[in-house]
Amino acid sequence: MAEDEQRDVVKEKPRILSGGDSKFVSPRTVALYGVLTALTAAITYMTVIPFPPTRGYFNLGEAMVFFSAFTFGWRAGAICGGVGSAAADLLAGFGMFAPTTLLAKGAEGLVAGTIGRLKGGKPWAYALGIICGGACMITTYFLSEWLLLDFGLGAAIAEIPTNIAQVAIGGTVGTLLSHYVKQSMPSLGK
Amino acid sequence: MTGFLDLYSEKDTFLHRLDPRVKLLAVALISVLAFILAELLYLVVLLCFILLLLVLARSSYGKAFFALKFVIRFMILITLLWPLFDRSGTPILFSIGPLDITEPAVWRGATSAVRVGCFATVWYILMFTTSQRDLVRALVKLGLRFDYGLALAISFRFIPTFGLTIESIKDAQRARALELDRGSILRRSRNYVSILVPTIVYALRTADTLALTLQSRAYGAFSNRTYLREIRMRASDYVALTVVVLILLLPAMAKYICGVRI
Repeated sequence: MAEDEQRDVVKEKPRILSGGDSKFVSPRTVALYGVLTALTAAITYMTVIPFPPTRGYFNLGEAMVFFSAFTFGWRAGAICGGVGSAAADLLAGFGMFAPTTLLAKGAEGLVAGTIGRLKGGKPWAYALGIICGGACMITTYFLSEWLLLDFGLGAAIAEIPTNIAQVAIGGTVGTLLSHYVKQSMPSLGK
Repeated sequence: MTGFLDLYSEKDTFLHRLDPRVKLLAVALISVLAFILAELLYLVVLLCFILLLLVLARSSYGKAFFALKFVIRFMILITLLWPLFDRSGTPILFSIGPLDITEPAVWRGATSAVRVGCFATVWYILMFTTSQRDLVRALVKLGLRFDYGLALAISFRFIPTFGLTIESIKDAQRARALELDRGSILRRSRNYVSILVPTIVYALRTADTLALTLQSRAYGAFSNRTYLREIRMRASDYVALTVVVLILLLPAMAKYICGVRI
């Protein structure tokens, strides 16, 4: 049976030669999504900014989610933000957050990418996108920690201020990144 | 340098040989089980069972310590915070100002801490024993589209590369007198922009090259793709699958059908 399958593959005309549209997404998109996802995960993992007063820490992974969403649209924001952040959670050993992160950051990227690019990306649209996207992220984390992971109301509420600060900083940095990177690579504007 | 830590280590135990799909299912089912169990004793038993599996997976002490440090810190935080927000129950242990710390609340806090411990450690079984390659393969087998699976595999491959890129760009900018650990938190994060912009530009150029590479290797040329290595369920995998399902089903039936308090 396996041999039959092999023969079928050989018989079929390669799609690159026939020029028909492939059922897969284009290699450009695969490469772009793969790289953006890796960047999100690497930045989440590497840029931890220690902040002594609260003993908590921030990371700039959020900035990458907003950057992907603002520069490449909601689809890239949702996929790269969600999967990249979840991969960072998995690799760093916070696996129990991975499903929540996938949902929370994915929703954040989706909302920020949809709202932030209204009217071709005016400053108010960016701001609104950051606020709405951030609200999605914080609510998802809060509900999941409170009801699903059963941290208790106390620990779940204790997370909220950290998350708000992270969205504010991530949003600012993400917007700056989007601006500067578009400047240095004008072909990205689209 | 922090270095990128991959939790997986190459060993030859039954957990390493197990089909990754079964391991994914086991993580999901054991999490559901931890959610169902309500008594502290049974949750502790479950946690011990998971830790036993971790020992059987022969995970290296360094990685296990790295992972468990986080879990233990979290469990302590939950145990301490829970009684502050839950003031029901009668035997009041002691009062701090307007706050009453009650005995049932303390127990509930401990229960929830152990449950979170189960949620966290069960993932380590998967991450300690499954290589990223197998994880992607399992996801593709479970119905993830192949092209998105490829994007995921690419991203896993590039995470350490970009980690190193960030590290070296950070050093380069530091040599040009960029200060990263002084000033307010906003100032510090803004300083990171001068590291992240070169990183992103470099990464996007990598993406361009990568797209050319994919195309030159005839990505997407054939619609039904074949694989060099297929993952197949073996007899032992089916046994493991049955055991995993029973581990969830038996306590769930005891609780919801027979009405045992567990």
